[in-house]
Amino acid sequence: MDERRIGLALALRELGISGDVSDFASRLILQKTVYLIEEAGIKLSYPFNWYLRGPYSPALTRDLFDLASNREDIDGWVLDEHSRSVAQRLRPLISDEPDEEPAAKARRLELLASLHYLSRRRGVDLRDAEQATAQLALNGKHFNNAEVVAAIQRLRDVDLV
Amino acid sequence: MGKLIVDSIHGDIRLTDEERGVIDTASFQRLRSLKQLGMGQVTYPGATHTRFAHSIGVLGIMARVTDIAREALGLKDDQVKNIRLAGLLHDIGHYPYSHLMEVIDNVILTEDFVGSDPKTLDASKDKYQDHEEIGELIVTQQGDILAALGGEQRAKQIADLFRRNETADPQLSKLIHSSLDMDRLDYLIRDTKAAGVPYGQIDLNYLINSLRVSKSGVIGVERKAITALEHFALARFFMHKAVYFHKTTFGIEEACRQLLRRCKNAASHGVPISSREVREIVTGEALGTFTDAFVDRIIQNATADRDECIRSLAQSIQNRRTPKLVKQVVELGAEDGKGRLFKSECKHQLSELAARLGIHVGRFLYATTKPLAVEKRGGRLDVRAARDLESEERDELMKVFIGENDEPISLVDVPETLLHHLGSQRWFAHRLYIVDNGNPELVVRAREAVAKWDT
Repeated sequence: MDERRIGLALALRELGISGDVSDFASRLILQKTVYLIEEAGIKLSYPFNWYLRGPYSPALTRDLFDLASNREDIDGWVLDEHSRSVAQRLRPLISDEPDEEPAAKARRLELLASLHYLSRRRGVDLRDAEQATAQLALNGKHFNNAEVVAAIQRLRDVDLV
Repeated sequence: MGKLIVDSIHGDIRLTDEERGVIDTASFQRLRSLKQLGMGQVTYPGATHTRFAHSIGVLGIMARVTDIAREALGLKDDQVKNIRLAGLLHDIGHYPYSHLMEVIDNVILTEDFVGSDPKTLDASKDKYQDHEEIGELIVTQQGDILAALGGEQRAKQIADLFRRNETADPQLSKLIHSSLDMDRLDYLIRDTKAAGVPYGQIDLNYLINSLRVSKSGVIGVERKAITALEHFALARFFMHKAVYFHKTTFGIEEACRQLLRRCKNAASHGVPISSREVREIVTGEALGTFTDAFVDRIIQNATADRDECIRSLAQSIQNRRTPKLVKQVVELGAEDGKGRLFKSECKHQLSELAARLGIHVGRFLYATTKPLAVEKRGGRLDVRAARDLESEERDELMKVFIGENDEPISLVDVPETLLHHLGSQRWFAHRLYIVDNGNPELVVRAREAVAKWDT
């Protein structure tokens, strides 16, 4: 029994996304989703560090694989009201966009999570989209300025920055 | 190179003046008061070795690894110094009794587990940070460590390395990701010696002498050492079964986790009630008191608590009347449904059983071990899925150089290995304990009652 894994499963259910870990894009989507909901106030306490594709938590990877093999029973548990409202607030950000392929969604969430991480933990000023684009490139992420501007606006729309 | 330390596992380890400066700080000396195996000495009396000795041991291994990597990667002196320091400091953020206290926010109290009424999981509440985050706080905010490292910028660099942040040093990133499990090379052999069991006796020198570093900085072993690497993986598996998940140790640690969680919920006996309180301790003068004795005092005080359950748990730990295993259901490989059935029966029948026995339901402890596999990720994957792993995930797997390939491949991908075939097997145990506090009648009655809860 582990409260964190139960919380993770409940949060994913509230967001309406499956815990599918069968391919890399799905796992990347889950990593960035959990990073963003943690930052928005659902405190699952997964520690995230910057790695090849932005914020990444090995502990979360382990739990996602465990959840996928159905080890945690969440019957009888509900998420608290505040966390449910946070999940609903972030739903527009996390949900699929029309005709969005998993790889495209993974890339979109990678950008959102990476921008947020660089802003909060590396002091990158998101008021300057060009600087943010350059910082992303310095960290091996190549997004154009228009993508970055749109992503910053989406983070603002859900009060994440 | 300056001072020489003689280590019981690795022999002579030469320290730089800077490493000596770090070791001599009060912040680092705290690790002398944290037992490496938590409450493992309850089962294995000799297992009283400390995080301090382990940290020195990891430095010793890192020194050997960097000697190998220096030439292959063309590492500069500063990079070698940094990675050695990261090895030395990787455990500086451990809580009292290590993982035991760190995870109390994840503990489900028995009364929240049983019954069918909906329970609310409050994910908005603040939780303790993990030990690597605490380690970063100590390294970047404790004056003595900052002084020993020459300032905040350097301290942040070192913390980024042991936290495996890629931005710390892109050239070292892969080396860190594939090498910080040098941690395991030390603790397996140190723990096996201290506990007096044979299961973790790995071929350390052969493994280290067979290490190679690829041009991209990934560490692997040469093909000739595959057997030693398989043995290492199996040693880890058996050490978990025999020592880390030993039923007696696991039982008393679960009692302690539940006790600390109850005290945290009740804001009693000095258990920090928030991560803010933990941060205040570890960044202030009280850091030196944040040792195993910190939890020992909580247990001592709680033996006189007004709450019957808290009192029973504390007395059980204090008097070493370890919780008795009522029943264990083990799964290996494919789930056969017995574990799930046992858990369900516990969930629905424990309250009634506690009432029949005349005890608080919190004196029953239901807990599961972490799923255990011979390879860290292998146990969660079939071979096809393992091939789909991307860099972040793959870097955590053990690697081997095959043929003339420049880059090593994962051991689970080598068909001639046991891990290739057993990698997806997992060992997993459901355990139910009772805190009997010296009343054997309770244990007998409980065992009779649950005997068929998995059939």
